[in-house]
Amino acid sequence: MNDLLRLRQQRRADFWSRILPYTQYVIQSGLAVVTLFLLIAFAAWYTTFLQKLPPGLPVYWIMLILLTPLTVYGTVRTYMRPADVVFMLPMETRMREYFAPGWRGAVIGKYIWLLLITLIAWPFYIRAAADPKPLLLTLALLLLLKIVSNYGSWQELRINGDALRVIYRLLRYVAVIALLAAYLWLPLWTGTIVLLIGAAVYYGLLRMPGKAQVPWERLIAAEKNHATAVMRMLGWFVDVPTGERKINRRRWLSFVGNRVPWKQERAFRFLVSKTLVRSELLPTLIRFVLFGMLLVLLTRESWFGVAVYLLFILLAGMQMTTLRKQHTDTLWLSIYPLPPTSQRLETVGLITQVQLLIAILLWIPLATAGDPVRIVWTLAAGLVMVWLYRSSLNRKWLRDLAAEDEL
Amino acid sequence: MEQVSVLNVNRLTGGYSHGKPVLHDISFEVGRGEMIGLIGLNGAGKSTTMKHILGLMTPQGGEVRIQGSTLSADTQQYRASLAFVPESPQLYEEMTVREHLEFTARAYNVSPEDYEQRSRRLIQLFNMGDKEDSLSMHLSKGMKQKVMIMCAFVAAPPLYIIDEPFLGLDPLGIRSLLDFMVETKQNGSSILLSSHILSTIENYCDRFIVLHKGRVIVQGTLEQIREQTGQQGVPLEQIFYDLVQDSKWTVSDE
Repeated sequence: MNDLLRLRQQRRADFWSRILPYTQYVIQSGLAVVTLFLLIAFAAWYTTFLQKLPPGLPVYWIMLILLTPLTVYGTVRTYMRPADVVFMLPMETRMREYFAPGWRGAVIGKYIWLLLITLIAWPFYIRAAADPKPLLLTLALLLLLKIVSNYGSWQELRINGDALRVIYRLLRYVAVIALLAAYLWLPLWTGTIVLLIGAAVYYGLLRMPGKAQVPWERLIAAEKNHATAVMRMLGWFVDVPTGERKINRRRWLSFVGNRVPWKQERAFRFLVSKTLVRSELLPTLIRFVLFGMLLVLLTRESWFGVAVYLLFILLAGMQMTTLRKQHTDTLWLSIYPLPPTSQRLETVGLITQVQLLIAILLWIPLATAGDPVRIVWTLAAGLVMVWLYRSSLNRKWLRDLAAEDEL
Repeated sequence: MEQVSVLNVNRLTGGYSHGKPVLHDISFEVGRGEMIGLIGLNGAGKSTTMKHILGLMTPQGGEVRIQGSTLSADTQQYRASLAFVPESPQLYEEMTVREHLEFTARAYNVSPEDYEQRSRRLIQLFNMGDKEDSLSMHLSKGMKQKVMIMCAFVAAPPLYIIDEPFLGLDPLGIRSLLDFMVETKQNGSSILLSSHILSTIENYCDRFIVLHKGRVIVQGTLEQIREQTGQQGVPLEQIFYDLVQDSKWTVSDE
């Protein structure tokens, strides 16, 4: 094995050796039970759903929505570090050897999930579609699209010029969605030919712009984002070092935090509000709430819907606990004259405020149908859940502080 | 009338582990309206001294008082009395330049009116007008350093602890900082400044403390140090060079 391959393997092992010890805590946190419960509930619902398919379902749209994310999303783990730009630069021409396992792993990893989703959705597709396509051909074409999409996302990193990179990213999204749609909607051979020609044209377009041999800084930044995302997900369940964060300006939300009363004891709310709106937590929460609203909408007429509603409020609160960890090690909180309780009170206050808003948003789809008494009681249960979570967060924080003092 | 010192470091001994102190019995004072230069080689103990003053490290012996009070006696008052500019800029990536100033002003209980006035002046002085709405992560190292300096000055406390402030600053930034420090000290605030640019601080500091291997080997005005070392008319840089080379002034670790 050559030195570069060995280095990549060693870095991969280093990364996972830092992650794996936390997995037992993740399982202990109840995730395994919740996942099992959701799987059983989904299996029961899906079986009934397949037996009595409602007429006129937009089957092609549903398949497109299911298959697009994993086909488009193409990222490669490189395990690169900031020092590489100095120490590995002399080996730039050999870096293909270093990246190759990452390229293969990225395609295979995502394709396995894509395969799983396709196989699960297939019974629905062949029942609902007027003219279903053959399974093996579909899987083969999905693999081709996945490879092309991953190749495209890698080439985007190499393209010189920010604007051109954005254009090519949009082109990839449009190309993958359009080619998937063509295959789903058009007759078998027309759809297949359009997909093959489209993929070839996209591949040709990717060869046009000027590219860097190895886009060192972009790869290092992308790797940092990956590692942070993994740690952030772990952080929902267990205390982990949050590491580098991905920050986005979001000018349209710049006003958030500015109206916090101008008092010394409230100053921390100003900071933590900015953290909420500019970190990755906000888009994660938005995606999570939209997904929750969809699930609540689908299950709103049963008691299962109430359980999903309460579960999503709880999980939203758990996600927001990352706010607590964001500023644990900052120098300024040890030096600025902030009251000792302000960090806890303001963080918990903000989490409660946002969780309340989420409880109301998730309740909206519930409120559209069903027994009015149950609708009102469900909202009340949601508010109690927010209050209980607030108390538990406060208690845990104080307990942790006491434990730190003892040390 | 006896002048009360703003900072009083009395027989301070401290370090990262017990039994192996980095600082040995250090004593000095910073009076109201004084600018004091804390100088020494790398590893002499300057940053460790500052960490003890900031309350980030607990003394193994001796004590640190700011305006007569220790950190444990009145934590909030102690912290409100000082502002710190670290050697490496440490900013919140998610906040803009202006938001850093606002957060600092809020934390130090500066009134909104004073904050507006001070921040406008500082942004203009440090030539950061076109960057005030930029996220700190998009700033150059020198600009980040300017933000650190502006944050300290927007708080306007009685004491500033400034560690190597000139690193990364452009010549215009260095001049603006020096002028503003002079103005700040004339307004009655005190500054403890650590720097390796001895030729620059020689003309600005009222007194100097020379640290070597965790001990104060000489301190006083430039004239007093010249007298103590018998080097009349010699620049600070040369005196410092001779001091750390000469075994008469340096104390062994043993």
